[in-house]
Amino acid sequence: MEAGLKNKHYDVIVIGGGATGAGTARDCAKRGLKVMLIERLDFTAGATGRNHGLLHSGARYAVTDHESATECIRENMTLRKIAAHCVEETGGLFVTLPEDDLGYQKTFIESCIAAGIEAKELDPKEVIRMEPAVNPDIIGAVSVPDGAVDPFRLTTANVLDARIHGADVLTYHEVVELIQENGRVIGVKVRNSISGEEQEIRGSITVNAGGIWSHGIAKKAGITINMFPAKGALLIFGHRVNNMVINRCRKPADADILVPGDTISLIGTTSSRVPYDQVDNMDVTQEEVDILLNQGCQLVPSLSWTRILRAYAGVRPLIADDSDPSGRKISRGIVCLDHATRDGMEGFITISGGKLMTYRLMAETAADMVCKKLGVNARCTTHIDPLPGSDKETDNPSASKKHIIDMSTGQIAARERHGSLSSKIKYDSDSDDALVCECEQVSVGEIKYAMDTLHVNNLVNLRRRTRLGMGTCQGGICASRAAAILGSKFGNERAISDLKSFLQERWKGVRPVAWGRSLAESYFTSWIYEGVCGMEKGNDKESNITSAQ
Amino acid sequence: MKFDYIIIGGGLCGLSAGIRLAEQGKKTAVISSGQSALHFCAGSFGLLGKKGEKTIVSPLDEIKNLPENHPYRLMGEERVAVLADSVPHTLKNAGITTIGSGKNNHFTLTPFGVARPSWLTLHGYFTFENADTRPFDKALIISVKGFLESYPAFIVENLEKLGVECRIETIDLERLTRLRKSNFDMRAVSVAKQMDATTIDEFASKINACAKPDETILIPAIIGIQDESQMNRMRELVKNPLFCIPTIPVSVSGLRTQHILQNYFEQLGGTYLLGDHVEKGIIENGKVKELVTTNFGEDHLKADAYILATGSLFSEGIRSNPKGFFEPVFGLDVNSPASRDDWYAANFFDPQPYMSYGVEIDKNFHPSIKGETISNLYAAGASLAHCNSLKEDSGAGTAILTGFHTADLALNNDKC
Amino acid sequence: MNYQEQNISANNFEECIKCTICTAYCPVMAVNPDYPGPKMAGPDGERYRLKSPEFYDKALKYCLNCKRCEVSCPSNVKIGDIIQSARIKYDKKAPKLRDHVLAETDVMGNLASAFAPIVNPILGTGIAKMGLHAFGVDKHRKFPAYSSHKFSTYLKKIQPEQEKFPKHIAYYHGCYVNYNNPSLGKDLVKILNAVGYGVLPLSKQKCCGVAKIANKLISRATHDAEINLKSIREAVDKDMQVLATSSTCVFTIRDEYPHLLGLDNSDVRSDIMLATVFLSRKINDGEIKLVFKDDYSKRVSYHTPCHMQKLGWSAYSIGLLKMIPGLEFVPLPSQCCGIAGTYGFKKENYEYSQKIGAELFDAIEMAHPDLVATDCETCKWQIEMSTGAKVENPISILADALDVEATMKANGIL
Repeated sequence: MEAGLKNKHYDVIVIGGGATGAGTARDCAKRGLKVMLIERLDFTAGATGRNHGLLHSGARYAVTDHESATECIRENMTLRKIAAHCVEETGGLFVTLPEDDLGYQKTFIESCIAAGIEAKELDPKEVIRMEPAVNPDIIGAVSVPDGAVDPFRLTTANVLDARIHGADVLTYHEVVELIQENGRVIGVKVRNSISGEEQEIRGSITVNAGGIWSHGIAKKAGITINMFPAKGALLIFGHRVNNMVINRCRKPADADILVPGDTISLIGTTSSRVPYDQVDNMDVTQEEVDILLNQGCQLVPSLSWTRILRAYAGVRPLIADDSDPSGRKISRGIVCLDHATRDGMEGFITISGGKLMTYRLMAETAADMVCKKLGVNARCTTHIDPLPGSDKETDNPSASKKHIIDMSTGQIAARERHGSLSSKIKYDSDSDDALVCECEQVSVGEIKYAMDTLHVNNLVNLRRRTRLGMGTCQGGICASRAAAILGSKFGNERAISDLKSFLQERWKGVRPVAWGRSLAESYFTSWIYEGVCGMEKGNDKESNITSAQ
Repeated sequence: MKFDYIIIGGGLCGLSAGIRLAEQGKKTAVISSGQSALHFCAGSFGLLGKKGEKTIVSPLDEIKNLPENHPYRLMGEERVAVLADSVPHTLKNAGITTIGSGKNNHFTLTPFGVARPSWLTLHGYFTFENADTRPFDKALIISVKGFLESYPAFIVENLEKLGVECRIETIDLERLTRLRKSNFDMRAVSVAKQMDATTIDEFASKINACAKPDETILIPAIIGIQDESQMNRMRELVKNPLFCIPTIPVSVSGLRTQHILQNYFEQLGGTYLLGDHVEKGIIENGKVKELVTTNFGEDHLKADAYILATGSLFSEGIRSNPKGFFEPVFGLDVNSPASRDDWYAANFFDPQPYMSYGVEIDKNFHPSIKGETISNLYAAGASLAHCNSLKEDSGAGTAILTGFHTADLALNNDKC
Repeated sequence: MNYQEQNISANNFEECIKCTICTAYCPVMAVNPDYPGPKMAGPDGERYRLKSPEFYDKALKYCLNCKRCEVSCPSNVKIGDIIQSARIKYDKKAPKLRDHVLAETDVMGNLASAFAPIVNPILGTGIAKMGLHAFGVDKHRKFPAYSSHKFSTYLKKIQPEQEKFPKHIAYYHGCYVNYNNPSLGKDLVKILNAVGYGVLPLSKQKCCGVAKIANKLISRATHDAEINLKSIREAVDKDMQVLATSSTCVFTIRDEYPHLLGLDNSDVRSDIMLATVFLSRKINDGEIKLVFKDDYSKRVSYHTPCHMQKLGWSAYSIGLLKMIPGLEFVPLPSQCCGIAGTYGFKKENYEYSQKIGAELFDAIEMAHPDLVATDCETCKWQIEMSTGAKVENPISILADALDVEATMKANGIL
């Protein structure tokens, strides 16, 4: 893909491999533009991969932010259609605890209905039967159309569709310079994060979809965007504690949403302002863990005795509202900046704000602006056309219900992860069905598929594409097996050093919650890799690449 | 039920103590809550292999440089030397052949082909004297089709650094065809269970067919689940020198060693209670009065003296929660700081402070509860504080030697 | 902060640290690659089943319920219980007629006992075996002979004399002693009488239900279990302990009732035990003495049935056997014999069943004992069929070696 980039000219260069960047690349590509998508590390390495994975109904914003709420519910319904294999239609609850004001529930329901969100008051007793995990002391409950969405799958599907429509994609390439000519951005200079090699890529329009890093990217063109890095920490529990999303019916606060996602449940989030220079270094503190547990246990008491797998934190790319000269007013909605009108810099757009739920709408907004600038007259279809993997089930013979009984659990799990694309996973040789990751049921065949088609350079990439190493043992069993498979493609020296980085990356998330069996698990993992396999701490250069992930 | 001695924990440490006591004709019981960490040994036992980044040449000479509350220091240099010397003999009596001595470490290869210091290496594994010199000129590394728990390519990667010329051949064993179709079964022990006499013959002849005259053959350690005879048979059949490289655990030799030691203990008259859990130790007047176990219920188990050999975090000899680390059977004093921030190092591969938390003991290996010594209880092995056996590469040494030592203390009223 | 002081999860499934030791000890996995093994079927599968029942794997039916995974687990995960609970909860396939028949040990036993002289020869014929084979019972299997006199009738008959003893126990004889081997029951009466205990029947007893649970006839099993627990409570109220001579019956009543049927037996659980446990404890406490014939001479091995391994009581049975002077004890490794109750009788499991037992059979042939002692009747059938060795319950061996008169004297009965 890298060959001949120099001579290529793109209509649009999208910076940032989060949901918004991938969505923008997809939208532009589907409108017939020649697209280059560039990501500094890996897809979803930023805020996209570090949130609840909540398919917001918008109810959370209904009382405070009507506009966000309406956007959310509209996108919620759209994603159910276009991204079926990334979405779990779990339904959601907003529950009122004895210490909360039950009066708020009425306002809440009214606001939801005003925003077009189907909110129904339920008998708390009925709710305890529907969702046994919920605190049995609840005094009020409302059902809303919340669900779960897997941001990794969603982003991957957008990248795949962009590629299907001709887009080029580069991961592990950091934009080091915005090339300017006569007050216009005409391309970017990128550096390969692994080899250090630099090259220039030319394009008519450059879209800055860098999330919290948009600030730094814009700066390269001398443009200031006031961003407010807001850190949010979350905890992952060892299994699905709840089957419906459980929210607390009160003004949004810390740790008041528990989301079931695939095999696990997630509680979050905290919220704290962090200095901009800390956004690459998100460690979850002991205090944050305590807040999350304290609040989470009020919502769902069993969290108090459920194993915690890891903690992680993301940074919300909140952006200052340009309408407020003081820069203090934070916009919660979608912000699409045309730097031509705002800063006199042509060919450069920033798309930010918003949230995972509105990524498609953000992409549409950005693509509309790109098209307008290029004078292209093509309509957006991303709200209608299903993403790859989410096409109708009948297109995929292996997905029919009848077939399920003959499928191994690994194959069923793969079908859920890749949707209809799972038919592309080959189980030809004897060992293709053999499980590499046993906790998350990832087979050799699935890994080969991911390696060949889903931009996998290392184990962390592989984890995001497949769930490898995301389960109970956090890679203890599967990391070496997967490394051996990667080694066959990338060389064994790189595979071994990547294995070290992966184990370090896993430990980073386990450490804040390392007690009980999770600590015993880590100890056991140390035993296997250090004790049995004789691995030692790598030099710093080796672990640099993935430490930022 | 009454015994002379009861040992809580049935792994390498508990069995070492049990064998020592049963050899003296004592009525001894070992209570084992599930199988042990011995199953995870990679074919070799470490006495003291590493100090920081450095490899230790003569472990016995390094004892004096350990922290003074390290279990080896509490035993004393001389005791460690005497006991270490006796270990190969005891293992031999049980039916376990080893190579090596405490005077000088030798090296083995890990599943990734990394040289690793070893005190005693089990039968069949490759050993060599100097980690920096080429152990042989040419190696043929055998990979078994479908088996994911060995890493031939990684072995090549590391052996080539020593200048060894390497080749990998993949061998397809008839009997594993069906096993390969299952998506869960290709583990070392599962494969080893399929290695009957015919398969050994097939394995050997397929190796012979692809081996070149001057190659050393390295196979994954998937044979010899019962005893050492299968490996001997392989060596008879294969023309070239042939050695095992450890696999990812559960290891075949670990499981075998566990069983041989357990059988030996039982032959000596010992009672091995597998799958029972000591729910509570009843303490009276600074002594353990009796043990309450899940299976024996109201029939409490009594003994004159008790040895705690319950192991590490892995075996639940030590447990933890956000408030701290604790010893679950008796609630013995444990050396862990209060704040979670102190428990860990940020890098996974750095020495982790939590790994050195464990039961505090006095010079006679008696633990205490709230400062009060328990006079008929001894603590041994991986449950002990002040030793990071992973970083020191001293897990097996600590287990066996403190097992022997506490057994001797118990036999001789704290004098040895 | 008081959160997270301990981890609590159903059957401890979250305690699993994926060490895979259980898979090394699973007897089924070694012979049947279709079985995903205890780790996958147990704690790993449980996470997936909590996500969606469609992840229930029908291959869980291959689990023997031997619980050797639980015994080997260093993390105290109730792996066997997880698997069996999942079968009960998720496997919606109705049991076959064959499974019903095999599981209804009471009904079959009652019928067969009544017609024993007719039934026994027929069960042995080729025609009957072919019929049974077509029905799903493997043709290699030999049904245990039925006795024409039920033990329960005998126990009722001797009740008046048993009442006269100063102390009493209640005997849960189970189906095997009742229909197939009343002489084992009589051996127990002989020993207990000699040490001053009268043996009384429970007011009512049904099959322990192990076969019904294994064949997912849960409501039938629960129904029988409730009757058994009621009778056991009555006996315990009269200060009697309840003894059994089958390790599987005891295990089922003590542990499977609460774990798989959800019946609380905590008030009486510790009063239900194997007869060898009762005798050992009384001997150790100095309350009773056994005196043996001085001319007894036999080489005896002990086979640890899986449920005995799980109960952790083989030390009691072995201890008693070792008390017999002239008995040369030859240990055997604790391994599954492969029968697992009705499991091995099923045509589809026969091959696996024999492969599982192969190592044990070899060990027995090597040890070459005069007798193999074991506390489980189905192990007895399997070992007798597969090795030709003679197998006896330890109670029968003790009774055979017992010097009744001397024992009575030693216990002050005469």
